[in-house]
Amino acid sequence: MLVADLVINGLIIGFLYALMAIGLSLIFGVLRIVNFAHGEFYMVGAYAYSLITLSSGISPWFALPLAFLAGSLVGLVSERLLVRPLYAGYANWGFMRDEYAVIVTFGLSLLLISLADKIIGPFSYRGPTLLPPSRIELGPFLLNGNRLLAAALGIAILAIAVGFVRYSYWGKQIQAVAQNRLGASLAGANVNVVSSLVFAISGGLAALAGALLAPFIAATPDVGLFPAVKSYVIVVLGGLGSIPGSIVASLLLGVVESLAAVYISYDYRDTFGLVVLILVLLFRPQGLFGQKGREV
Amino acid sequence: MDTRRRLKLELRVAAFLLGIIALIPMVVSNDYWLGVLIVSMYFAMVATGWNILAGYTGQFSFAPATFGMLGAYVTGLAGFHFGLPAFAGIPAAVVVSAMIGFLLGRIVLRLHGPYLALTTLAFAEVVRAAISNSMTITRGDLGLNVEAIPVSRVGYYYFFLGALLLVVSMTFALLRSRAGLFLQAIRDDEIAASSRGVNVVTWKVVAFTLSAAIGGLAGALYAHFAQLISPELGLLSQSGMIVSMVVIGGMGSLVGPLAGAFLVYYLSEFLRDAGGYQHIVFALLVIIFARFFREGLWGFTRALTPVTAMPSGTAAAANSKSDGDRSISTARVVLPDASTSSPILGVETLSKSFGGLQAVKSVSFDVAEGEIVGLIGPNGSGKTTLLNILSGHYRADTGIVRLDGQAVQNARTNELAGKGLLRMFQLTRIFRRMSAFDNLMVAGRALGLDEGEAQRRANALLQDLGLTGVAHLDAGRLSGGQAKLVEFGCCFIVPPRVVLLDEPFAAIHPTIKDVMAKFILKRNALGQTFVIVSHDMPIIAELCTTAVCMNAGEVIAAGKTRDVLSNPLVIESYLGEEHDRTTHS
Repeated sequence: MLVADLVINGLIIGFLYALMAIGLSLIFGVLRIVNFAHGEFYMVGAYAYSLITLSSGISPWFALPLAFLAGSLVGLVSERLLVRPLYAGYANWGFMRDEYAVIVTFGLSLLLISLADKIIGPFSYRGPTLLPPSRIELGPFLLNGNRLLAAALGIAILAIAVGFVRYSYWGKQIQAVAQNRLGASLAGANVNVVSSLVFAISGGLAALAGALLAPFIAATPDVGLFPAVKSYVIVVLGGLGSIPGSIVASLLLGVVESLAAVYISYDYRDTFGLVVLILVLLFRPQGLFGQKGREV
Repeated sequence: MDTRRRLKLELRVAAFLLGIIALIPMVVSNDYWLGVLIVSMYFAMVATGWNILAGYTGQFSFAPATFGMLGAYVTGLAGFHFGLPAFAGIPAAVVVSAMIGFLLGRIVLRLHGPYLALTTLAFAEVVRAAISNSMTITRGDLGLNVEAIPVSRVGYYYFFLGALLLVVSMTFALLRSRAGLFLQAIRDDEIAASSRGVNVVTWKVVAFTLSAAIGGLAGALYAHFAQLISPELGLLSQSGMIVSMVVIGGMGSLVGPLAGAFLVYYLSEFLRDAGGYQHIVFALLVIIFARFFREGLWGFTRALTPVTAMPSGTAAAANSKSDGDRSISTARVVLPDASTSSPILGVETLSKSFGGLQAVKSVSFDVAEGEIVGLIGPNGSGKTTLLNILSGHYRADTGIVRLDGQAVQNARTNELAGKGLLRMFQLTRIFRRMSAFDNLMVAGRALGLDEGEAQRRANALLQDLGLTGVAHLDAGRLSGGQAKLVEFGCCFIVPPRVVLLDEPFAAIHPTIKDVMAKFILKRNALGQTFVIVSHDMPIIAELCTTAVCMNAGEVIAAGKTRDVLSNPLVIESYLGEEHDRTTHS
């Protein structure tokens, strides 16, 4: 019974990891860069949710969309100022782009953390829960109602995000740019708008993850670090750029951590992801769902 | 500028900087400022190590501070639990850090792209979490007390300076050796590096291990200086500090990390006093330097050195005339009789598919030694895929490739290059941030030439190809045709057995095409074998004794070039007429 309990709790946290990871995967899929400031989008969401509800007293339900907006805005501005030079009129950047992208997004991460530390301060802010504390009996299982609600919202948001990318007009443009940037631009897709959109969605989703977890993990300047590290593990596990892969890997990581924390060691719960990652890299370097690409 | 000359200049500047640092205790006796300089030297060591990896090899690790922390904990724990003294603990720290770096590198460095950055970031956070949670062993966040070395602060100062001197001179020695060429080649283009014979994974692991060892040394020294260590040593912001030192000072130079470390650390002490703005300022500076001044502060001095003007392609034509107009007919006479000699390259029932697309279907043919074979066929017929299998970039699904009778279908690209099978890519692959001369040196040293011999041959080749005037320019500044000539030249610095050329004549000026064609005939007269993929039929007819034509992944005709070109199937496949596919299967 304990095992089933742990698996369910692992899945709950896994769906929230997935919110982080698919944004990262989306950016990589479309722009071929890894955003090392992803954890800070999460941090922005966690702060937005906690500070708005704590200072104005509005319902946390209204704070959720505001957190999404804050994350999207930061994503949008980051893309516009720092990422766009990679593909807008810098033809000879081809052999520099990976280095630039790594350094500049890492610099952005440090900047956002230190700005939060300076402006908001190093204190932690825990956001209010969406519902009064409750226990929900689900068959034989007794679950924390707020965690279950966060996971349910996470699933709903994931479904909306995946549906948007799959089926909407703009989602199809995103897919086109992901496959062939130049080709898509020749076919009339607005690649700049698509890139901004991808960063806005990615920032918004990460911020929502931060907001949904803010009642459980209080917002601090470096609160995004562990969620980010976990989403890096997840996207490598799931195969860089694969959204279904990211979702499956998120759930897997959630369950593995939840089980290992009880059966192996609680203190080292954050290290098991790396162990899984190293095993996967040893035996299946392209990730669980990634495809070996053509290199030459 | 050539790596060598650049490095010599950087060594002088680095020696000057270190000289100034050596003199400082004569004028400054304030313990606080000496302490600041000692910590700067810790950072300078770690930054130099990280620069070998990121600046020279292009591999971004986000764990430089983590290896410093590991080194500190190795000597700290050995002293705390087993009473090991510093003179044994410090070497142990170097060895353990190097071993961890080696193991992590072996796992991660087989992969390209952002995997290293992602995995090292996860590694950094996980190691830090593990140390801070292992209360009973490491005393967690409380920190671990470490024995002091019984010397004065000035004693520590010269101790650190000695270690820094060691690290800088080791780095210089590494970069001055062939490793320096290989690491930079890997940074600029891994695939091209392996095609020139460089063992990419091994050299990346060497760089990673060395960088970890340097981090371990610096961390161990720091532990004995600070006498209290905590997991905070491995904070991401510490790694961020190291990255900003290198980016601001100048990546990929010997001076950059040194200057950056002293400047940034001094500034951070200053800004901390001025209200704690140091992290914001450095994060901003990293972004600004990455965006606008990619070569850092050291790059400003480089920008002052003049660049020689680039001669145009006509120099190439003029030069090629001088080395004797060996006519095509005389070259042909020397050709060994293809029908009697044993095949140098044999391809047997080779197949390769990508998902549902079968790109190469059961292809078989032989190339006799001394032949020039034209590989032709419409776009998408599988020529480049076949070439990629032959050069070891792809694994065939089934089938055998023999080089000199030896099965090589599972050999890696750099092993094949070592056996004399070299290749040129359709889209030019050169090392853009190295000079044309150094591009040739990479190939020469990777294939086992010693320094002097490689230099001599590189110069001779540059002369032959008409590139002497641009030999010392960064290859990224060459014209498309000149860049192609550089890549072409790399195949010949050691006499090759077989050269695979993928569209060598596409999109280049006729004079350069002429230089290449003449060069091919000249080398062929010496017995070197060529396989040339081209859509340029007149030049195929002129150069190639035999030809192989592919269509839809299959060989549809092979034999004397004249016969192949007049084969109705070949004509049909090019002109796209309807024909019954069963007739040629």
